[in-house]
Amino acid sequence: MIGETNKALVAATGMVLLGGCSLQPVQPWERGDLARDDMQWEAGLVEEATIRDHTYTSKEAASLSPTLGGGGCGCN
Amino acid sequence: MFRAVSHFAVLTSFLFALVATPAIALEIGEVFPAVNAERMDADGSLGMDSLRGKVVYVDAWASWCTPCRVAMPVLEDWHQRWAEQGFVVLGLNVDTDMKAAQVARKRAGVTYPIIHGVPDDTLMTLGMQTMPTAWLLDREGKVRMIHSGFRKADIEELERAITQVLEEQ
Repeated sequence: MIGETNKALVAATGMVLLGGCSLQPVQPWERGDLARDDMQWEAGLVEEATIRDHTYTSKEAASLSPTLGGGGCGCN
Repeated sequence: MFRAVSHFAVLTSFLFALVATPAIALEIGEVFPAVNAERMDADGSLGMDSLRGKVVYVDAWASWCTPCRVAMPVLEDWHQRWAEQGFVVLGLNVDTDMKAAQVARKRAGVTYPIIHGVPDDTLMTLGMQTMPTAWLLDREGKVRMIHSGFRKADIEELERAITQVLEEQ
């Protein structure tokens, strides 16, 4: 059973930690760094799509991208 | 005990909030800080002191900021148009990637002086909220106008403000 004092201590620690988050707000001149590809949550998403596309066109011997009609069979 | 700890937490959070809020932000009528930084368009450095007596349009910009790049040809036009009347555009580049900054500068084809490497604490005192931010300074170095962002619709208002300051002796 957590005592009242311990609860208060946990709450206080939480508030102090949350307050600490506000110490370094992102400045306008720092936004360029945050916008970099390697700073994204899913940085590899575009690269992965490019690799998948490359693999598809290579394996299928398809012309251009998979979004276009036609293939390597020469039938259209 | 609970009350004491709660008071401590509230007080600490308040102090954090105070520290996080920029205490100093440059305001209209104040003298622009005596910034002295390296030039990215030429060798050497450039200080605000050397521009005293001129009407200066300080433009904080970065290569990754599209409105900043849109503004550059307009600023170049102003720099050329009013040069004889003692008007200077001073670019203040905030890029960390200097290669990208140089590419953007060359692509825009601007000739006005641009400084870079201004320390963060100096930038903090300018109170920038967005990119680009510009400060119009009179011949005494006092801020006469602060402009956030850049849209082509702003040009007329900005030109009016510049000519008004230029006409003052």
